[in-house]
Amino acid sequence: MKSPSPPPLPPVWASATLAKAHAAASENEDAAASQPKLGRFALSDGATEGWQSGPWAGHLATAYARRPPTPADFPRWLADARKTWVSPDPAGPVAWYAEAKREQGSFATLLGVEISPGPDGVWKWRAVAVGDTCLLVVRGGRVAVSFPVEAADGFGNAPPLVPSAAARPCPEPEWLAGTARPGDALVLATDAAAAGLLRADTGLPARAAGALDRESAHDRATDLLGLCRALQALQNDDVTLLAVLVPGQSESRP
Amino acid sequence: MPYAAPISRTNPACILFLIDQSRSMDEPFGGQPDLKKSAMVADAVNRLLQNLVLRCAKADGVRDYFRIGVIGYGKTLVAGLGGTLPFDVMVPISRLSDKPLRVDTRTKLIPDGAGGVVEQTVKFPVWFEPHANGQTPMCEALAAAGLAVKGFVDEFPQAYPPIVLNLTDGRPSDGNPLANSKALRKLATADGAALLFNLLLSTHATTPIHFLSDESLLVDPYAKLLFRMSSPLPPKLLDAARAEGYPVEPGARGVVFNADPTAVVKFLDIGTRVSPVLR
Repeated sequence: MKSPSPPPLPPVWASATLAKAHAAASENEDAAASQPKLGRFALSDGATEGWQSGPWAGHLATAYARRPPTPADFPRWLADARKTWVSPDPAGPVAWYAEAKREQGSFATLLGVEISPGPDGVWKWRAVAVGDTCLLVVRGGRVAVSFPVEAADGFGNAPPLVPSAAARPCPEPEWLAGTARPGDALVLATDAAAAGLLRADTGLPARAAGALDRESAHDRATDLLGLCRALQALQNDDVTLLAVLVPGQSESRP
Repeated sequence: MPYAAPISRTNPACILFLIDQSRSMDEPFGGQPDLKKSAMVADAVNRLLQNLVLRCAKADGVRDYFRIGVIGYGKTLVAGLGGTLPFDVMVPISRLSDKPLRVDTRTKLIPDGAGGVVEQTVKFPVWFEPHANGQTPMCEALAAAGLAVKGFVDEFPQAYPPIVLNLTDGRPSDGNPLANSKALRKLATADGAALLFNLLLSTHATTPIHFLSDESLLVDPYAKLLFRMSSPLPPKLLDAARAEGYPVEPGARGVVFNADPTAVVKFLDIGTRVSPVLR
């Protein structure tokens, strides 16, 4: 007997973000982008010490959602992203430090995840990562897969970053593909959030998945924002989550 | 864990330079007749300040992740960077960034991509000018540093502990500075005691000695005194010294003898390695 086909995209999903404590919301340098109907989701974390990090993070995430790279064409994809990048700097004379910093360019992590229907009701996903923004596959309330950082103590202070300047080499991206079952949650998380979710016995991964059970998009986002606050209490940083529910046969919510 | 506080605008880092400005600082440095100790130290401090400002520079301005101070000691005791003695030595880095004394234009050599080098023009802000006159009132300078550090730890009791870097080429002219250095090192935030690191510049070309952990290796009584005045390197700074190739052992002190120009730059670099993550 032939297995039923997975339902069409878009899946149920939600995202939330929180700037560092004591920082203005406008100083949040995380960025998310998505094309849910195409199963594409991306997160990027701009470097605190970088120049125009937030806009560059947004540009990278958007570039992924518009067209995800393949392992073979990542250099060309990045070259295109750099070509279309315009640093939003004011015109006219600038301070000496702005000039120097602008020359150094912008830096951000990148995590992109693409899901597509596979055979027998399962879903396939493929992820690309530069840096420590993570994909967590949450199954039954627990983290089944964490990529590219696998454990809470695996986060450092100097993650690989995608530079905006063409003269600066980009660290080699990491790739991972897998399958997910209906009801799994794919959680994209910036470093502090991922480190918190990977801590043992907190129940926080289940909260991320649980947020996706809420009926309305507003309630899902509100729950996820509450989780961001809980994660930020563990480590003060910009915190961003983007959670996607792997669709089953009956997933059809606003 | 001490010496681990993240640096933020609500809990900035404090870096205070004590610069010997005695007459002998105008003597040649490290056996190089055309290079004065005072000029090289000023250059190294200006370069470090430039790097710190750049770390804090964002599109909306320079964020105050650091309080910076300079106390020069020679004929008189003076606060640099627009600060004033005795109670307003530490300057928020944003104030510094906007008001260098001047911005010089210098050239540096960069790879041309074809195996050669080309000259590139770079801006070089100057906040601190070389100066050399009078004697070496180190005790007075350390006492003034103590007041500045006290003010900082009172204002930011949760911050990364203050770092004081003393660069000198000679012996104090106003007594034994051990008591002042001990008093300074007793000042603390919740994250640990203030750090005092010392560097002794050399007129002659000699081999620098970095970050010793064993006082018995020193023969000269003044070298022993500088060793005792200096704080042990916290674990992250030990790691930084190792990463720079120094064979440091646990308990190594933040002290450098016979410093040449390279040693000065490394001392400033390693000594100011606060948390690499600014929040």
